[in-house]
Amino acid sequence: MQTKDELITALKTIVKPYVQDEQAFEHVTEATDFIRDLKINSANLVDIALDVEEAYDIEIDNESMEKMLTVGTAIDIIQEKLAAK
Amino acid sequence: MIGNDIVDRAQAKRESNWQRKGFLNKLFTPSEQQLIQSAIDPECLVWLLWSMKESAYKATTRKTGKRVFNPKKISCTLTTWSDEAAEGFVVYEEEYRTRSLITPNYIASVAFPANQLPIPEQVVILFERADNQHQSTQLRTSLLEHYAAVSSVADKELQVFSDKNGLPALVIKNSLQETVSLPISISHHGHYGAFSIAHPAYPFYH
Repeated sequence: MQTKDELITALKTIVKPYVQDEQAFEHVTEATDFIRDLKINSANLVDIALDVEEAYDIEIDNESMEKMLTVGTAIDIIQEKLAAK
Repeated sequence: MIGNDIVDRAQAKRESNWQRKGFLNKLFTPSEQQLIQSAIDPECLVWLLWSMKESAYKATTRKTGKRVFNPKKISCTLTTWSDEAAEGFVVYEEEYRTRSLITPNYIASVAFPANQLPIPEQVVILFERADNQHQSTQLRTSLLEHYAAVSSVADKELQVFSDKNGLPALVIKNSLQETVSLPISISHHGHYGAFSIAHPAYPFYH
């Protein structure tokens, strides 16, 4: 399984096409908020969820997607779903 | 409470592929998906329903401060719908009425409590420039000019102010130096901006 740092790097690749604030993107941490910091359009959060599902062959149910507002929560959800596979 | 949202249709086309597998199913309830699939212009309905959901989400979040991403928990019903406008109801923890404007360039919706009168107006503006800072200033200036014109309160008595939770309000100072604060909702997407001002429940005498 990927380490947390590897997961953050992989998630950054997934998120990149939707980022509207390039400067904030250079300083991504686990606390980075997709909407507030990276200025990602809310409709694109669903694309991030779908891309994550495809990349890791997992299913992000609505209860999980609900919390996917930051890099940190997205990583937690990916790890949790991978562990349950 | 009040919430408003605008979708720049050209920008939405660039940013999102609504035909992508799984997209509609993650955003819309089964009955909303059915509406979209049976529409002559499904893309228009995607963004109409989305702007209705966003406006209700903003209205509820304004009150609860609770941020989540679960669009399927927000359910929309259309009562009237034409090529130019739509009205409906949206339920997200509480029930809102919504009014939407549809043009070839944008779709804009405002959500407000079902029993609220008068119905809040939603004003749409076309941005002159692309940079965020400029757009934000242009929106606030338009809002002040708009309220000054409809209320006959002088510009200098008005101020757009964000409270400690980052929620914007229009602050009005009257001749007795009393202040009244009206909740406002601001949104922007692509080349367009929109705002709505919640009317006071009682007439505000200047």
